[in-house]
Amino acid sequence: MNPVLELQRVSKCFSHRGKPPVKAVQEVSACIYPGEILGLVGQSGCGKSTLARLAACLLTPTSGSILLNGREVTGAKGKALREVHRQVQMVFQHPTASFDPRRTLGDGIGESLRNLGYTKRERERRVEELLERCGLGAEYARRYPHQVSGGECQRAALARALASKPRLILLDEPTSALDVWTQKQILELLAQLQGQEGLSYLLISHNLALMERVCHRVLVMDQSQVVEEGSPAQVLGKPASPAAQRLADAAIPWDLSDPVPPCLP
Amino acid sequence: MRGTKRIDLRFALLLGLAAMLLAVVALAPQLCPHDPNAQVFEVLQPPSWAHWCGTDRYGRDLFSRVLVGMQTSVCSTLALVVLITIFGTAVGVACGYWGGVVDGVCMAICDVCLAFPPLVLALALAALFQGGLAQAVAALAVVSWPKYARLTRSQTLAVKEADFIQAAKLAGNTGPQLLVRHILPHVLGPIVVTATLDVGTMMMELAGLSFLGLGAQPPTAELGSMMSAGRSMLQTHPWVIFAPGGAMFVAVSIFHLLGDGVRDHLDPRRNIYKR
Repeated sequence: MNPVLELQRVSKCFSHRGKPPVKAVQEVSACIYPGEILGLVGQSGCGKSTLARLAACLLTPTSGSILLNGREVTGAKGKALREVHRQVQMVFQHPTASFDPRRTLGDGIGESLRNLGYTKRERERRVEELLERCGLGAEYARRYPHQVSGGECQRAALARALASKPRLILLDEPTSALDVWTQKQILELLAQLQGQEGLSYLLISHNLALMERVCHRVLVMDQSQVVEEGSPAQVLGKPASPAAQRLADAAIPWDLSDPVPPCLP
Repeated sequence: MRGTKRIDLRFALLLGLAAMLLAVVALAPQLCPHDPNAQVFEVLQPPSWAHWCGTDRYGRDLFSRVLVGMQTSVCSTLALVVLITIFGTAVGVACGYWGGVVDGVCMAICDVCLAFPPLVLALALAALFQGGLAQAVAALAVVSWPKYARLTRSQTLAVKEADFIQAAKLAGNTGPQLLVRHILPHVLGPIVVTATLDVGTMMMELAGLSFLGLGAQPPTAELGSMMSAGRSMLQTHPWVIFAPGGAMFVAVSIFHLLGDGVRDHLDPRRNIYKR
C-alpha cells in the first residue's frame, strides 16, 4: 500500500540574525498510510508541532523531501500548494485562536469552499451539513468564535478541516485545551469520522493513554529526532529508547503506597 | 452601562459636529456673503453686521475668506491624511508580511525620516519644492508616512503568526487574499485612530508651513497664510488674525476630540462589556 504522506529525511532549521540557528527537526523520515492513525509523542519543544507544520507545507524544510500520494510537494507554491492544502488539513491546539475573531464560524468553515469555487448557496448548504456531522446545529454558522465554548469551537474546527474532503488531517494536540468530558466527545467524533471517510490522522498528543487506545502506530520524538517507532503497546509497554522510557514512566500513576501528606489544618 | 452610554452620546455629538464642519467646508463658496477675493470694501473695518469678521487690509470680507480658507485647509489636510494612510499602510503590511530585502530598505528609509524632527524636515523639503500648497502637502506626506508604515508593520508581524492565519493558508487563500481578508481588518483599528487624531495635527502643520510662506500663496485664502498676513496687526486690528485663528481652533479641536472618541470606541476593553 502506498503511503498518503511520506517524509524523507526532513530537517528544519530556524535561523535568526545574530542568534545561533535552532534545529527544530533533524532528518526525520516517516510515512502515513491510508486509514491509519499515526501518533506522535514527545516532550514539549522536541519539534512535534514543527513536524506537523512541515507535513502541512506551512513551512518549507531546510533539507529532505515531502511526498503526497507519491508526488514531490516540497516547497510547493501557488496552485500546487493549494492542491496540497485541499488534501492535507490541520486542527490546532487552541480552537478559539484558530478562527478569525472578526468572522463567523460559518465564514471560516466555508472559506476553503469559496476558494474551490463553490457558490454562496452551495457553500451555505455544505457548511450546515458539515456542522451537523460534527454535532453542531446549523445556527452555529452565524456565531463568532468568542460566542461558543472551546469544545464547540473544536468541533467547528473539525468541520472546517473536513470541508475540502481531505485525505489526511494533522491533529496538533486537539484535545489538550479541553476538559476531560469534552475531550472524550471530540475523540469519539474523530473516530467516527475516520470510520466514515477512511481518513488518515497524524495525532500529536502528550496523553499516552489516549495514544494507546486510538493509534495504530506511534512515533517518539526527542531533541528534534524520531527515536522510536512501533505499535503503541510495544513503544509504551516496553520502551527501547530513554525518551520513550521517560514518557512511559511519567504516565504511570504515582505510587500511592507512600503515605499521603496530611492536610494542613 | 451608564459610562458606555455617555461615551456614545459624546461620540455622536462629535460626529455631528464633524459632519457639520464638513458640510460648511463643502458648501463654503455658496455660504460666502461676499466674493472672498474682491477688494471692494473699506479696509480694516472691525466686525459688524455687514462684515461678521470685519475686513482685512485690502478691503476683503474676512468671514468669506475664513470660509473659503477653511475649505482649502480642511480639503488639503484630508487629502494629505488619506494619502499617507493608504501609502503607509500598504508599505507596512507588505513589509511585515513578506519581509526580506524590501522590508529592510523600506524600514531604513523610515528610520531616516523619523530621525529628523518632522516639521523641520518638512520645512526643508517645502523650501526645496519652492513653496505652494500642493508642494507643502507633498513635503508633509514625505515626513509623515513612516509612522503609519511602522505601526502597520508591527501589527502585521504580530498577527501573521497567529493560528487563524495558518488556518486561512490551509483554506487555500493566496498571499493577497490573506492580506485583504484576514490581516488588513486586524491592523486597521489603530490606523483609523491614528489617522483621525492626525487630521488635527496635520492641519496645524500645514497651516504652519503656510504661515511661514511655504504653503498657499496669495491671493489663495488659507487659514495659515491669513494668520501670517494679520500678525503685524495683532495689537491694532486683532480681528484680522483672530478670525482665521478661531476657525482653526474650532476645526482642530473637533478633529482631535473626534480622534479621541474613535479611540475610545475601538478600545477592545470597552467592547468586552458589550458581549
